[in-house]
Amino acid sequence: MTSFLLLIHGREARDLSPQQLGAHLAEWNTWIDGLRSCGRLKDAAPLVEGVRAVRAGAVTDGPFAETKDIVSGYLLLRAEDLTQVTTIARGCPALGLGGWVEVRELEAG
Amino acid sequence: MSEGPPPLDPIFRREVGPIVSGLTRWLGVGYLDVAEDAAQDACYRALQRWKYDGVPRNPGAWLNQTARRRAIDLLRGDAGRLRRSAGAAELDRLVGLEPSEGIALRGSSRDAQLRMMFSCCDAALPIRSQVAVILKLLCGFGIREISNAYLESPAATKRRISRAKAVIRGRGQLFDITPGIEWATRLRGVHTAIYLLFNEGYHGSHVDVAVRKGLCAEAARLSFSLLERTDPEPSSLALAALLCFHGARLDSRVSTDGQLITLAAQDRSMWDRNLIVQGVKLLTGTTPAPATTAFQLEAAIAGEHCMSPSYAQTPWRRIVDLYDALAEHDPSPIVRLNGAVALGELGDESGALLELELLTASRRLADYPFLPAAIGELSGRVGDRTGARRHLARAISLARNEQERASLQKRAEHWEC
Repeated sequence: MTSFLLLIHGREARDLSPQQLGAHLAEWNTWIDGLRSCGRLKDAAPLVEGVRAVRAGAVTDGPFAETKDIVSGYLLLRAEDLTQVTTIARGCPALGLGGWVEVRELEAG
Repeated sequence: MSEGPPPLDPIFRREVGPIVSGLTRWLGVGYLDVAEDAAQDACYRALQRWKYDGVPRNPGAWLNQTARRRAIDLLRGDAGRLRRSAGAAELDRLVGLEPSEGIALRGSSRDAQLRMMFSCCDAALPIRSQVAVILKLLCGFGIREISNAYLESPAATKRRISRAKAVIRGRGQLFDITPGIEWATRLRGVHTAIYLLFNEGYHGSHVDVAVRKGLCAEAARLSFSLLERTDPEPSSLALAALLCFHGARLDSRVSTDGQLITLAAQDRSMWDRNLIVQGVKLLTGTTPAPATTAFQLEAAIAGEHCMSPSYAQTPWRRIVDLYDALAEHDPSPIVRLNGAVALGELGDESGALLELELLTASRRLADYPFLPAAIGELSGRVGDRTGARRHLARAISLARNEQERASLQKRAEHWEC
């Protein structure tokens, strides 16, 4: 088993109707519950919208990239290999609304 | 993993109506748009929090509080415009509002929702606009989803909604739901709107099953909200019963490949027993007084179908009697059409054909495919196969969508050889 970090990029459009937001939420709950019940999910959390970039000599507020590239949440998963975790990432509901998932393998420690 | 239609989770749809209504009552009907924006924003924020951790035990309280805070932010942010339009005293009132005020009043926001629903059913609005604005304000539907269900352009829906909101604002306050003459009159309008909303899903022309089921679910939910009052009217109980009976059969009406299935051919084991039991309970709650409203009679007919173990065992005598009684309340051609079909099933084919021939003169049924379909079916049964083919061909030419066309085609094939 290897650990993977899934970074969810992008955020839903602000003007979706409550009914669309509810349907999207249900998709997320189903997806995350599935991962949790099969024991793959180690951690998951949303990130607050604001971004602060700290560099030597300068601290700036984000966003410093396109909105669709900002990370809105993450998942820490256990999976067999990159192929398996890619399959999992394909099921992420964020993809349906223009978001994308960055898949990173954690250095085995 | 995310294939197929999205799950029909009503989470925000259920919560958003009481929130928009409660905020509108709190701020005043002139701030309907602020209430809507605040509720939408609360749902958006809730999504961000709850998609990773799941929905909390009491989502309504969190949404309500967040929406109130947001409404006040919106008003304060808009203070300049407010000062010009509302005057200083009004501005002080709005900006002085505290978000905590009235948060505990969950029951009363249900009341506010009823008031909003009655406000939407204003006789100054065409019935379709009443339903559209109910979907917008009380069910969390967006312009695009309503236009989608109505098969009209988003621009047309937008105009429809903004006219409806102008009428609601123009009344100065939400409808007063204290029972009285005004209440009784408006209640009929509310029933009609809920009934129409359900029909839009049940018989509607939209081909997407998920869309249609969503409309049916919202109609059922709103009809149940009328029962939360003490001593609900027999007609409200009967409407809820009717929607239970129809709702119980919802899944059996369409095959997996999207074909409409007639009552005779439906798999009765798919019918939702719990809903049928609930419908029976609601309907018996309206008696012992003899059935006096059209909804009671209509619900009784739907109930007989639901409780019959098979199509062959349908108590047609009782159903024909119920249709006769219903026609006295509501002599509309569609009621007479269904009554005639029941008469045919009872064995009086020529009596049924006579009644159906009379109905062909009705303008309202001129383009209705199921009238020639019924005539064709009965003609075939009395041995007139040529007539059967001719009438069914006409029915097919009138079909309003692919589903209907396919279903009628299948019925026509029966008389082909």
